[in-house]
Amino acid sequence: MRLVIDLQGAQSESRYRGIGRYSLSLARAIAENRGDHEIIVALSGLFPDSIKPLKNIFKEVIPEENIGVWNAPGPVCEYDTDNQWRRTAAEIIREAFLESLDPDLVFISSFMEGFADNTVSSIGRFSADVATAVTLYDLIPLVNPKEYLERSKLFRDHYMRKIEDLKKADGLLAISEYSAMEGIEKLGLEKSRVINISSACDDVFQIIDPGESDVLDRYGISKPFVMYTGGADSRKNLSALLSAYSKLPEYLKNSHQIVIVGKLKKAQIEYLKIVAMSLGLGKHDLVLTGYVSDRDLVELYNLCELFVFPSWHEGFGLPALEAINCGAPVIGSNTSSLPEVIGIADALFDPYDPEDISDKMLRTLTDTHFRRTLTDRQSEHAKNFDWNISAKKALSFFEEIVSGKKSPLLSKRSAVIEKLVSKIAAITEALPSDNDLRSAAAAISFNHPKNEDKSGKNER
Amino acid sequence: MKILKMYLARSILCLLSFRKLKRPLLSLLKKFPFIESLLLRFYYSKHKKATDNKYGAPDLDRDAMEIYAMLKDRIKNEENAI
Repeated sequence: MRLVIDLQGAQSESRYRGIGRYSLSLARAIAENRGDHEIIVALSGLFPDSIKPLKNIFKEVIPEENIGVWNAPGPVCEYDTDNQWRRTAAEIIREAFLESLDPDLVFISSFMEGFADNTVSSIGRFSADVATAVTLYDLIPLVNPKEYLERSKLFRDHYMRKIEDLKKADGLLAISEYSAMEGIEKLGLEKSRVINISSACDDVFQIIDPGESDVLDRYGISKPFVMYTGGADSRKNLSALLSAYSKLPEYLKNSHQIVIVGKLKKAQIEYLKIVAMSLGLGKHDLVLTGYVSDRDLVELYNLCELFVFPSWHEGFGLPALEAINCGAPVIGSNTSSLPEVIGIADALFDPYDPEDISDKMLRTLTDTHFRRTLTDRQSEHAKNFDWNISAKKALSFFEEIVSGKKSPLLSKRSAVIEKLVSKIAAITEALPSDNDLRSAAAAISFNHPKNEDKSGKNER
Repeated sequence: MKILKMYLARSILCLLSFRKLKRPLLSLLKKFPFIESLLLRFYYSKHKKATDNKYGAPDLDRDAMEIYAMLKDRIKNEENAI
């Protein structure tokens, strides 16, 4: 099988977030576990700074000539309505390039981006014949439209357009059982088109000896602490976390701090401080660290007394797994994907009930036997999450898809150009400027050079 | 025009910071996507300065020039057909 991996997920703004790490780790594991399959990594020229670092990573596992770069006219971010023509043209141009690589299957590592960055993704704009598989992280905006879609018409239009395209994929690789179930239910797909390949975390998240580290001083942590890391949007349920913490007995509150790790918006910081104050928590009870490096994060996971993940909706819940791998006892919500990650029923609570969260916190902080059992069983459970397992599941799913779909015949360059020109000329949503046409022509010429030597299996 | 647009975006963002005005303003903006787009452009430009500066008119080699001519020609034909 000739597999083309569209790795924009590791190039875009998402490369600093979970999606970027997931895209990169999975693609690398797929390349390492490829067996007889041929892997080609396709990178977008619209993220020029990311190309060299990614090439350096992948040339260790696949031949350098199997890393291809494509171009398209930019910018294409969807929040800017002026980009409409360029975006549509870029979608056609990207698909044509991927098809020219003669793939049996195209795997798209991240599909929903492109609103605020120059990610280009689509299915079926150039030809509907190429088998396509896409990672399904979550459908949080679709499930919670009030919170995520109703505030911006432009974002809603972008998201719903992506959802419609997502439904055209031959296969979806969900990152958890919950996410797979959500895909089947909310997108109305057949079960056979969705598979759970799960997730894993980076090797850096492990038990270490922080030794003489000054990490606690740097973040103003002066007592044993209860930790949370992640975003602060409403589904993360941080006010319930603070409310639960405030219900702990006084002696525990006096001897602990609650530490929220991660970069938050100014308004979120203010909000959390107000909530903490209204719950009677003192100035030094709540610590907001702001952005921390991976190294500090690992140390904080290793040093915390307890890690709490109260989110009521996750696609996977990576911080919980990272904390487990660092030896922290982890408790979390009994909703969405978190029971799969946390694994132990005794470690779960109802995220809508601060009393229940507080009870679980109290038990973990005071019952030494429970704590030990929790960490032992959780570290055993964490062994199920391994990039090699996920990569092998993905590859066998790809084989299944490919066996049921005939790959298109590879066209000659002139035919591809002809088809591209007529598809781009037929764009009716907006009009191009002369500069747009020049950029499109330059991109097409770059993607399909005249001396292109096709070694494809079935050229026509 | 650019400066005018910037002031418009700034004023709307300023009005949005008043809680009582937020909801009616947001529902009004939904009816005018171009203003929403203008606000988002202003908002994101603070984070990604000069994002668009790198997209200048590219120099075209002979091959790209041929494709450009084809595109231009075909789009003209499409317009005439409409």
